[in-house]
Amino acid sequence: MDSATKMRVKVYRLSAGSQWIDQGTGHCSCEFNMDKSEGTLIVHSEDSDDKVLLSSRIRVGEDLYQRQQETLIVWSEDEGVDLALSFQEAEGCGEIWDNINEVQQHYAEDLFSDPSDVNGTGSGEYITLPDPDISNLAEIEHLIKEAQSGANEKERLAAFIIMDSYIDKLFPILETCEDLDNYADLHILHDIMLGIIMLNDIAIIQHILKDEIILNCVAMLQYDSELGESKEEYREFLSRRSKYKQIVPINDPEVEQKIHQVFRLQYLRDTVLAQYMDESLSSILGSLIFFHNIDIVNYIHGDRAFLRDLFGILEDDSETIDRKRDVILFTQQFCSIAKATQLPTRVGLYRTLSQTGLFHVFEVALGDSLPKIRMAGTEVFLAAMEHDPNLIRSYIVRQSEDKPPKQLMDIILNQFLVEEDVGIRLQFSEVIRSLLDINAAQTETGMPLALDVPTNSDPDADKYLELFYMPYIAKFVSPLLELTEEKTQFDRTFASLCESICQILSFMVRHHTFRSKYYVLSSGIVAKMCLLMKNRDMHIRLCALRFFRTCVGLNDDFYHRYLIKHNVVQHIMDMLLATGNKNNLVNSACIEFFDFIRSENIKSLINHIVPLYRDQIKDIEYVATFKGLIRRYEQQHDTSIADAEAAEVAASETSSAKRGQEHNAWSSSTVDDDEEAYFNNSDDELEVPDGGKQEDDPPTSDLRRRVVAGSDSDSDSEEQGITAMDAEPVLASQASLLLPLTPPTRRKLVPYGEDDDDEDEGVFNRHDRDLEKKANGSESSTELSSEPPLKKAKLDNDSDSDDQHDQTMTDAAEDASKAKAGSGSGIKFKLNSVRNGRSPSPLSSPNARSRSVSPLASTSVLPPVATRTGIKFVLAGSNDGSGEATGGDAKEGVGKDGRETVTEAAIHLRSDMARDYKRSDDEEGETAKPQQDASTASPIEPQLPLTEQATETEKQEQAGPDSAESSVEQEQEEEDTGVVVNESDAE
Amino acid sequence: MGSDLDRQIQTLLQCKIITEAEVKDLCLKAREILVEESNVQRVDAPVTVCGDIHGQFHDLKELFKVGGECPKTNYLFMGMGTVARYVFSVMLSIEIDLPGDFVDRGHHSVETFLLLLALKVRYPDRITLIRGNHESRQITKVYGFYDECFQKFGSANVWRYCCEIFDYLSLSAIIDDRIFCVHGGLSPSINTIDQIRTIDRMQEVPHNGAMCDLLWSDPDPDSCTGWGLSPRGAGFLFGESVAKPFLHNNGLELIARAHQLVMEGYKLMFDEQVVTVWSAPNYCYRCGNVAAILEVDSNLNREYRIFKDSDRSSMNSRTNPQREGPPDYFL
Repeated sequence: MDSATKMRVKVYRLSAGSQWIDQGTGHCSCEFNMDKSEGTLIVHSEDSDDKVLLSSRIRVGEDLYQRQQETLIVWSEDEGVDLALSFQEAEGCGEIWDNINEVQQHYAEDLFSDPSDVNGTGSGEYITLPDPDISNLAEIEHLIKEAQSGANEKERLAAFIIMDSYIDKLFPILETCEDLDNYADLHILHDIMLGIIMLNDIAIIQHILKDEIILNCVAMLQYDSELGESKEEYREFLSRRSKYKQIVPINDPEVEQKIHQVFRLQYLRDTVLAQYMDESLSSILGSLIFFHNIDIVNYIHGDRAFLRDLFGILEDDSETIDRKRDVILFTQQFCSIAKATQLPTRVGLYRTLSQTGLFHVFEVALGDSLPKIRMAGTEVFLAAMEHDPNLIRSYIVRQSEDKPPKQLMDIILNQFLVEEDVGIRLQFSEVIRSLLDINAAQTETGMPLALDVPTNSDPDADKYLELFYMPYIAKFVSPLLELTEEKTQFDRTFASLCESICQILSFMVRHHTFRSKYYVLSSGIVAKMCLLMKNRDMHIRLCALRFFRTCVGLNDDFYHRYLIKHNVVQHIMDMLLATGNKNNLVNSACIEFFDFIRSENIKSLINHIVPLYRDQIKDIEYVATFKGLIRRYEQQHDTSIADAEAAEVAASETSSAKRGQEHNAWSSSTVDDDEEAYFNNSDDELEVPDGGKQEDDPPTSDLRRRVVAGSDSDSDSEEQGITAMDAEPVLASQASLLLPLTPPTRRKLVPYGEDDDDEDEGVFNRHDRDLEKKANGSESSTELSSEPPLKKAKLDNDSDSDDQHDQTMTDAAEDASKAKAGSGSGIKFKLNSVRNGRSPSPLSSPNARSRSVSPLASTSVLPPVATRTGIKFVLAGSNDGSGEATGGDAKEGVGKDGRETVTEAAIHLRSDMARDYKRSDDEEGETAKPQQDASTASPIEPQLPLTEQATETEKQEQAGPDSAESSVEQEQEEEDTGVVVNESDAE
Repeated sequence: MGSDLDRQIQTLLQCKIITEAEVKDLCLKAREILVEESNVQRVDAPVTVCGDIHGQFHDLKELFKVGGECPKTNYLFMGMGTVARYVFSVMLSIEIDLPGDFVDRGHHSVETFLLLLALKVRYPDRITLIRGNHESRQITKVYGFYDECFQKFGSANVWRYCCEIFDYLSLSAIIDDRIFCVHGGLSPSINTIDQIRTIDRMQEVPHNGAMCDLLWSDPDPDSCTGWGLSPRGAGFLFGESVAKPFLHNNGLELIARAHQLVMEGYKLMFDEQVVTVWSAPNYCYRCGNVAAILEVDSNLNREYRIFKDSDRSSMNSRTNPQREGPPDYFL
């Protein structure tokens, strides 16, 4: 290849409209000055040699120039003009690229060799060290120690050490001392080397990372005097371990260097220097690692040829299995490096990987015979799911249409079922769960990552579910379906398999409304769960119990009836009674099941349980749950009591509608299977104090709710009414979904009333057919529009809503006063303490919304980093001020308008909270910059990472236009609220 | 119990990790023991009550030195503080906040947790572990325990095993029916000790509700009455007027809890009816606080023992990371 072709290049310039404009084609060269510390890129036009297309002085500075793909160099000129050179040949591009680097390096060396240029530090101001010699080591160590005293001294000494290549001068001495086993001097050398590193100079650190330096450097650090005549084996480790494996060569020597350097940096940080680490050293090492990793990831991301070659190995039958495994392990490590980089670096990464063959990794890895490889495969899978969940789903959906012989979903399920290694099976069940988690573009901790993909709107997600619920689910639950009465002895592996299946089924019940409902009610899985309830393994029983508890927790009458029909309660009762009142986890879990029914006042179940089991439960004294259940039952059947308790019913109705709404808003926030379960539990407190019989219930049931809603009964009920019906379009549709939640007495019954199985199925079958027609509809809307009975119920309820509203208001008023009476033990907010500006936990997160609260903060010294909690203070303020003064009737405290604002704000808050909770943070978890005040013993504890910590922009980006809008609204309203409170304070 | 377990305890005592298989086995055994415990675990005096260790392994050993070795002294840990990363690592901005940044900086949450767990399995009646707010998936994932597990074992498995154990841990303990021990504090949903029994604790720590409050609440020394909202975003602040009736109604004399750093190691509040015990000296190696443990003798006399952090130079945490699965490709 002649140099003319090699250097043939097109020049591009970025126009104002972000278009790359072709400036012509020519031949590129680089002209240097004498010592190569300056250079100019010149492109002569190929049309006429005289014409110069480009003449650009090579500028110095990190990352000014970028090499993209093989043949592109991009940079910005001083005037902010972006230029690009597109080479015909990669080789030519490489040459010019090297030239640029050379110039930059020379420039850097000049800087160091001519220190008068560096920050005006004259050479006279160096702190110099004498040339090292065995005889003067102690003196040198002393000098270094002295220089540690101040930042300026450190800097001057560091400049000298670099200029003088001082570190290199120590190596011969190291060698001599090692030959002589001269430990005394080796210990001093150790201290010298450590002292040099602790100057915390980035140039020094970069210097010691070099190939020829690092080994000798760590060698000196082996001789800590505390070890006496023994030493660490750092050098040995590094030289032994540094057998760098390349599967597909990385063509960029710089990137390769960076890969080595990252490893060395990590080793220094995590091992060699771990015990000496201070903050600034840690930060230097940390940022070097971080930026190197970004470069590495960007390079590999940009090099499609590399990726194709890499993943191509997996498809190539002539390749050995070992080499294929190498590819998988490489990919795993690459993904874990990518994980540690910033979000922008990762955006699109997995899409690129998938386009170049990532899926082969799963196909090869997930069924591999080596556990390590399967593990690696699942790691990569989960990493990809975190970033771009629809990528893999779409692939699976495509495969189901193309029908290749080996389908990914089959591989996953097969391996899930046969996996012997419990740890890996947990990984597989996480894989399956994450695929099913269509509403959450989130990590396990709830951090939304998939910025580059729209969430919730992917039709493939729905198709995937369809697919899973049709052919795959049968296979997935087959171990359960194959259970028989006889099989009671499970080995450990099988037991853990059953646990995993139960957990995922619980997840599905909670998150896939109609599909899972249909499946559960039609598949006979409940009967098998009942078998599990009889198992000897307590953990399996607990998992099955949790499944039932999840079903009950949905407050869906379909489930209640079905569970009654299958006599599920019998099993739970057996399980409870088998504990023999022993106070252990199983006992508590069973009680909680009944306690939930009691507190939610689920009539169908109460009517089922009490008559059947009254004898067994009436004597259980150690908790009030069962007495409460019986009382609920009696209240229902004794009309005189029933009237008296109308308030209670109404209140619990609204509470359950609200609860359900909350639940629905949450339902997409699938953080974790177990974690999610808390919903069901957290609701336990939502009960209304039982007027006459307080020993039963804590009078302070749901403090938070009260606070948010404000204590005056009007706003309380108003809020609930609005929340359920018209708070927001989204919520409204959700609320209508919840209709089965309202107790049967109040609901216009849907046309199927009998416990007739055929009818049940009939409804569902029709339902299912309708669904197929509307494959693209979202779950909720589909359910609404395709199930006439439900829709009808919704309408009925809507028209009722006014009456209900009034009713609720009165009831709630009564309820509120009862609560007051019941709160003898003093459950009242003492707001002053909160408002008096006690400093917030150092971990309260800075929140974008704090601004909106600030008007209040100026008067009552709200914590500067008011979070949602802060907002609640505001509302609580109105509660305290008005409610207190007027004994439950708050009309005087706050003006009518004001009150409405409060409730509205509360609603927005609520819906917003629900949304926020979906996105607990992950890496941003430490945005909090705690102001540690030791003397006041402030708690230094992590805040529950669900608090929103993202910036507003980010939030809007992620939550979509809907929330952006509402958050603006909310800000407004909070301000209003703040004013309201001030007014009420003034009175 | 088997010599295997003793060997593992010895290994862990040297601040070395045991194999993943051993961890799995240990967790299975622990599960069997913990599932039999109640939400309010009954404990007999004498017992020594401790707060979080926060991964300060060497200070745990110091604690055992001060309080007595494990089987000889009974212990009750009100949370383990299973976080690996310094929570207030402010010098790193988010951008360069890398996983595992602080994992090896003398932080040994894995070793600490596994040691306590191994002791629990070995001497189930001698040591009581109750759950703290850190013992949750979310917290451990964000604050470094996950990364620590990953780094030390090469996979997330150990983290998963540990998280499963977290769900089994008891929520509180009561010493001779008189001293109530809990990680955080009281809950407005809980008026009587019996009500705690109706919590199904086998779940991730919720974001509200009774279980959350027990693990997240704080006493509010400035307020002498009522409940307040916690600036932590979870749990509540409880005042004297809440704490005292709770004690009275349940026939208790003291609430012992951890959860907050106190410079003096312990802090009595509300007429000495609530005490915060903090057992991580010089928290994060920079707070300069002393730590305390509370010794309760068989007559329920209480004595606080103060201790400082173990001498750092003798700490010698020379644990070469025994990284499994060498990073061959990115050396």
